[in-house]
Amino acid sequence: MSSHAMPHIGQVPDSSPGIETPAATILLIEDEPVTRTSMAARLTRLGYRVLEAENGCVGLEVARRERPDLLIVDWMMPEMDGLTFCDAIRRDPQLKSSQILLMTAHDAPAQIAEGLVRGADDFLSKSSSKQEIIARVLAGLRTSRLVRKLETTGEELKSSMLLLEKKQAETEADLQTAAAFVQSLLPLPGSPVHGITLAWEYQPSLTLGGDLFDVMTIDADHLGLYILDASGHGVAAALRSASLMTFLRAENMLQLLGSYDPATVLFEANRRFPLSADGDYFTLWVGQLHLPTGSLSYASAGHPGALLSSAEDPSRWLTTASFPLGFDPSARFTCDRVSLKPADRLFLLSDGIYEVPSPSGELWGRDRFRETIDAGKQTSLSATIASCFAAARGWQQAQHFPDDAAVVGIELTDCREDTSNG
Amino acid sequence: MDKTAVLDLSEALNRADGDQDFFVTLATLFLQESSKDAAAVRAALERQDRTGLAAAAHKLKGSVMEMCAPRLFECTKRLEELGQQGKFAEASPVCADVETRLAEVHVALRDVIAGGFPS
Amino acid sequence: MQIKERIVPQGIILDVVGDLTYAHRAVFKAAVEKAKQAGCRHLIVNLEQVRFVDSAGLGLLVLVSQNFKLHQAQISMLKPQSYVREIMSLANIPKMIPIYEREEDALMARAA
Repeated sequence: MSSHAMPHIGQVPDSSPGIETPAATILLIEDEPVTRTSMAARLTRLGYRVLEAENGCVGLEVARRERPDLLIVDWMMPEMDGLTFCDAIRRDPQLKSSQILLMTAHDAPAQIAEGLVRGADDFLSKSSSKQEIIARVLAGLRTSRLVRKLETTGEELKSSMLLLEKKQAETEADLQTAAAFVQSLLPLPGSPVHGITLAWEYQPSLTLGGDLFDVMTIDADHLGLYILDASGHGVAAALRSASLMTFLRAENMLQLLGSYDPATVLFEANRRFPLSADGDYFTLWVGQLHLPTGSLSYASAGHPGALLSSAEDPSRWLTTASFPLGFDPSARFTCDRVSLKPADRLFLLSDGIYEVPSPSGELWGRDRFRETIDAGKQTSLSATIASCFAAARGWQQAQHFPDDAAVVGIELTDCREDTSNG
Repeated sequence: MDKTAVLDLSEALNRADGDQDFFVTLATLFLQESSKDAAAVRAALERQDRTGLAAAAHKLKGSVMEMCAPRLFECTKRLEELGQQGKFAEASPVCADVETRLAEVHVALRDVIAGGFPS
Repeated sequence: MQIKERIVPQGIILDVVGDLTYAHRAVFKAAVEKAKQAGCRHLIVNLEQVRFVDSAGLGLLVLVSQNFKLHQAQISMLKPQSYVREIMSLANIPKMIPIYEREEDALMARAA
């Protein structure tokens, strides 16, 4: 052979040093200086960055500091032998996925098995040819790259998840704030005006509900009241509801229409809240109570209606068939009148209170709702409303309502006597 | 590999990827280290230290493999085995053998270092 | 909810089985869109097997009706169950979308 000829290098290492890709780093741990120097030189010639350590303890330090791509470790060493080193690496959370080539003079299957059990990934015989060294090192580095890529992807996923959770928490906090705001818009139970008692119960199906209502003083003689129901669910429906609620404020209606006449209010709302591109709309029931006479005028836009419960007669629905808001931009709404007597109760409700299915799928329905109202005539207004919720929950055998459920009740105390006396 | 040869120079040079200067560096390192290792082997044998004998012989065997000295390698390997088995009586002549073979290898290596590679 | 499509000479009949509600709006929309793409002039929604229509379902029907009108096409409803009919009536839907009790009547309507 010609001793001057450069031997043929069988394979170009995949991580050849260059400007664009830094050479892969290999940590070589070997106590015997001649073997270590020789192997280090061979690996360096193959284009790798080689770090050397004379025993396992030093090797661990270097590995933690440098995070090499591949570890080549001698099996038999004083201080810390190769197997103990493998154990230490696999226990170290930062290093446990490192690729380890165990360098050995052994090739007995039992010993190789032990090496694998203890955490070696592959073996390299000290008498290996250059081709064999190249093959083993390339395989180790390939695995190392894959493992690192997986780890990076895993970490990216993890950080994406954390970010998402943070966003969700923020959104949830925003929703809570919005819900608190909408709640603050709802009327206070008690006595909104002399001669009237108000009670209500509201169970939004989500944090932010789409069914809203109000009972408000229009002027000295008039009480305005409405309940609206947004079709669809979720935040978008709730936001549209809040927007309609703002529109329906007494000041706004008086400024815009000069009165709170129910049919006029519906006509105007119908023009301003058209059917959305997704087919979303509102149903709305509006009433105006003339306090001195107890005369209630009301109009409905597709709303299932209000229920009038008087002491003597069976209760009856106050509703008229009509388009919901936005179905027909030119729609006109008729206004009906009814006279309320002292001790009469008027209930505004969303269909979510009675459209609850039993476990077998049967709906509780409007009739059972009305029966519950009638059965509660002798109890207080708030107790009657509570009994409706209890009955609906009992029917569906669940605490949570599938849709927003609201029942608003007003009861007339003897207001005419008061006014005549005053 | 010729198991009777003192030194398989061509194979040793091949392991050094044909780099003569590097081989000289390795050989110089070997001269230092192997003397220390041989002394450690002898000391372990004299104090009848099984583990010490096996470890020292193993270490020496590793560097001998790099130098491609087949006869020395074989008896070093034998010595390691005897150390592991604690057969000190048998180990004694083998140890002497290792020392003799090592001296031969040293001579051959010094020749190469001083006189260059035979062409 | 499941929707089966039947193509008849006068139009397309959608046999809906299940609840026409918010949760199933995508399925219904897709079926309607398919009919529209097929150039359907008369879409008949068969509600015989529909137990419940919620407000979102109602909105969808109206939206589809308005959309079909824009394209000189028509939508009709067939055989709603009593509860569904009640919901429809409250929202005045029959004034916008004709309701038929017999398939032949629905089919005749467009031809007339």
